[in-house]
Amino acid sequence: MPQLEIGGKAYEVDEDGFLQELDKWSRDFAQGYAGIEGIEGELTADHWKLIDYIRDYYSQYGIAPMIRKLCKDTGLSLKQIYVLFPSGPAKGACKLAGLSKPTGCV
Amino acid sequence: MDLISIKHEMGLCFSVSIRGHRFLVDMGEDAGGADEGPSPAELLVASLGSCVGAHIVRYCQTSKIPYEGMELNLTFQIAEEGNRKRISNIVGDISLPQDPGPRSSAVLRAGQNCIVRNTLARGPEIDLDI
Repeated sequence: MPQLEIGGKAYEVDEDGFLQELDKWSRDFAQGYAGIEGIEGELTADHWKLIDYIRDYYSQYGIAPMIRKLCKDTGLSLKQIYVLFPSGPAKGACKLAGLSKPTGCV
Repeated sequence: MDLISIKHEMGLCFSVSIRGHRFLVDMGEDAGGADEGPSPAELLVASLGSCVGAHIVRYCQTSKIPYEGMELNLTFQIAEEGNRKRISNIVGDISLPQDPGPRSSAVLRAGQNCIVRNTLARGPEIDLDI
């Protein structure tokens, strides 16, 4: 299993870089991973709004939210989400939120 | 219909020639391509978006609804079912220069009645041969 080092800590990730152990996630993990994903500087309130929403949804339903629901519930358009996470909601936001690779949803 | 010609260039890259227009289609580097152009799946979604857009423009022209500079942003998901992959979900946001208000649903209906969406909704017969 590949490992990713962020802030001096090692995390197990899959071949696409998705965290394998949800409980190892922390806000420091997300902030550190943001730099690796090409997001410059500190994560903004809108970044955290998306990350927190995705994590809350996943903790309730066990899957990542559908994109349309993500847009409606956060009030962010698709374009705004891609500005925040250039890799998109799945490869970007879900990865920083510490979810395993989504299938079929975001 | 005019002939659409697709010629292998290198790796997973193909050139597409249609009525004198030519462009490249390729897979991204993470999928084994050289990223010389959009992927076939991306083109399919782009085709849908531009077809929806064209139908919305036509409706807006006849209904005197402002449309210049309208924008469509789309994304899609791939589902893997066994060894078969397919686009499982396409999501699009349409932005017009002014909110059409009560005519929004009519604008949306016009866009949804485009040839590419109707084709995807029904699934055409595909007949390939060597």
